[in-house]
Amino acid sequence: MNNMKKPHILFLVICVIIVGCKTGNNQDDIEYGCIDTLSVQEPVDSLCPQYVKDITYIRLEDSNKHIISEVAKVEVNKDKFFFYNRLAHRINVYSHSGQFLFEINHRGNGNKEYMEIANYTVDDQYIYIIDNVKNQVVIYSALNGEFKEKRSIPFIAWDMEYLAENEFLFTFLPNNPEGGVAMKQPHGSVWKTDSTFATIQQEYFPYTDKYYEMVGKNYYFTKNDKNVVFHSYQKNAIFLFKEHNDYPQCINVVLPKPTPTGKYISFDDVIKQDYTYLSATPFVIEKYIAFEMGKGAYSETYLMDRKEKSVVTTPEENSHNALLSPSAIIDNKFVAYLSDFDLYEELVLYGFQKADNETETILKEGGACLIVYSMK
Amino acid sequence: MKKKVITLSCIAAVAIATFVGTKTIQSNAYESNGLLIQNVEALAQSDAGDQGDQGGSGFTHPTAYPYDMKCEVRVSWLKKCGQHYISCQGSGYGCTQTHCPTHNAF
Repeated sequence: MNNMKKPHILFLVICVIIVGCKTGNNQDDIEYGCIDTLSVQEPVDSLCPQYVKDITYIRLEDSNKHIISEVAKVEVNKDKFFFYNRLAHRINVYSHSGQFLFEINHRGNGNKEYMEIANYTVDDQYIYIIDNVKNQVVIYSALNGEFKEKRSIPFIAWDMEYLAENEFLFTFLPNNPEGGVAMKQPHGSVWKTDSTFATIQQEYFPYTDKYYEMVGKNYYFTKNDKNVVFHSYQKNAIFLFKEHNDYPQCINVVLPKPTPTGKYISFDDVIKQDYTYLSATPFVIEKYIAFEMGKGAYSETYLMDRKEKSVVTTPEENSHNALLSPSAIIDNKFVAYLSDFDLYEELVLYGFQKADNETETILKEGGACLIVYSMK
Repeated sequence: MKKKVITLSCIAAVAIATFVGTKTIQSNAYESNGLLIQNVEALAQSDAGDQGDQGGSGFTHPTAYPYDMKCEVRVSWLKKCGQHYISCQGSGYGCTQTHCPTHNAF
């Protein structure tokens, strides 16, 4: 009898190991420790300007010649800004002082080219471009833009972010019930890989086959000095990933009329029914969270003081120290991107700090500048 | 004897499972490869204009994904447009490009 049992036990052990290997990386049942709550209660005070200490402009030299309109994602490394134009599939690179350095503009089917820039990230050495058409990440030097190599990826991703050496985060969530992707995807909406991108080390936030985001985003990740921040419509929370740490921290999000989660709702219905939602992934610094809340057909920028737990916005009638929606963080300061001269004129007319003549000229000729907000 | 038979059955079961799994992965890879070639051709054909617009509104990509995208054009210092449109990208099963209903720039 004993002899009969052993093979069965062996078989069961093998099955348990196989099942364990398949599901062991999912974070389905793990409770994320929430460290904060972002709570919006209407009416919101328009006291935002009081939190801004000063504003400085960074003129993007020659940006009138190197068009960087329709910027979908701005990245920052130790000495450069990177501007990604989704329509043109191009990345323009500037120094922190605003000097134009080079551009990545290699769309094509050649060896050193990409078919699309679905999104990208940077570290101090390289620019990593997701090309979902060819299922690869194309890598260029962040020093001079030279092609380095291509690495195959066994998935489709909407965004990626450098977390630390040998740690990258990717994300994918379907956002259109009428579409499908031509590849088997990881179970989680976020996953971590090493720098080969071929090995998935950890998966987060599993979703079912019937789950669809109400709408896609230009970027799902933002970054500050310590964290990579992730947000999707899957959960009423934002998540902070730290390097060499498998468990993200969470910030709860409580909005006045939140968009229902757990069932698909079309974005048209969200607009019609005036549901509120975070329309972009927030930018988080030590004392503040800058975020955009959508309501109806528009979204507005808000600021949360993390110590006082208060949420404020900019008054409609006065643009003094108005916080434009940030595109990046540098040295614990919010950075907004401005490329519209008419909007600049309107801002100044209603009390916003004027730029110098050279910056105005660049804006007037179709160029752009950055506005850096030092906070109190 | 019985022990041997059962042990061999277990090994055979694991081997079959491994074989079926490998075939599935290979099949997905071949499928992706075929779609890749179609996608490369479709996207290459649809390039138009300095901005690299993927063919404009109404253009159909047979092998792209219909990414539902927010417009996000800034309409004042406070507000951004929250309308949405379809941007064709990546590899999928078909997509028709649309524009933001308010801001035709997309």
